[in-house]
Amino acid sequence: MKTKTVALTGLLIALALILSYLESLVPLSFAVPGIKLGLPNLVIVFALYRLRPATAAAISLLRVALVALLFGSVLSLAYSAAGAVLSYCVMLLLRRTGRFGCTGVSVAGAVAHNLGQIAAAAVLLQTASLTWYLPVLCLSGTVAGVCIGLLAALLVKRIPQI
Amino acid sequence: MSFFMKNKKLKNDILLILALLVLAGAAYGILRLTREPGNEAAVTVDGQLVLTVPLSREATLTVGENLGFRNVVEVAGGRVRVSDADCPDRLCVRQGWISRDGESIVCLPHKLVVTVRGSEHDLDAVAR
Repeated sequence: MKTKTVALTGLLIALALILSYLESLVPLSFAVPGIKLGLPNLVIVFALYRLRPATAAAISLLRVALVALLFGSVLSLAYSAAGAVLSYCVMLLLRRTGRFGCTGVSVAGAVAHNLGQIAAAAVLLQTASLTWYLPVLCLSGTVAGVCIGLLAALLVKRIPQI
Repeated sequence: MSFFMKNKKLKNDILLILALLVLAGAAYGILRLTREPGNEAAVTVDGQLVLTVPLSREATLTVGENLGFRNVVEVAGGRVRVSDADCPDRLCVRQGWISRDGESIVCLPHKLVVTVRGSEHDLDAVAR
């Protein structure tokens, strides 16, 4: 692995971490847990378009681990890891098809992230009643995904290669 | 050619977004239409049932004090809510009243779930 790749990956992980922290300062969860803008996904989408898939995966997973260590708990690690893994897989798949733009990839990733979290919570809390949150989280994921996707599209356009 | 391809991606993106919005709306509609008003509230902590209260009662009960936390569950007028809690985010309090079969309030930090059920158990409030 090239030194440049290592440095760049570290830099992007730090950026994703800062964005996670910023996001935690602005609570959007009015009634349903899990509503958020998904700022860190900006970094992941960018990495998917400009770096290798493995690098994007590393950034996503390390961010989740670091956020749990710094601000979270074992429980929150399980929720966000499930969300991050599902989101990454869906985004990589859509990216590979080549039929969607940044926005589509980001939207699918955001909704997948929410679904992954709900699924993990449903398993850990042994309750299926969380299905009530699905419509709200699907809607909030779509809206947040569009915002992040448009930003990511700008970034990808402005930074042609690194 | 490049413009055409970009447009096609844009079209797919918009279709995807619309599909997800429709899905969210449909899911909400189905949940809303298929759920009837419930008869009792069941409180579980970490998957263990700790309390059931018929919604026909008026009651204010404190849950979790033996486990080192506090969620106050209030039942009134056929509805139930968490009226007070000492969890950091207090999202369970903000979720407000629920009354339909299958609806629930979740307090993630305390692993506490209040679920409205439809069954006709006319039990007294039982704290275990």
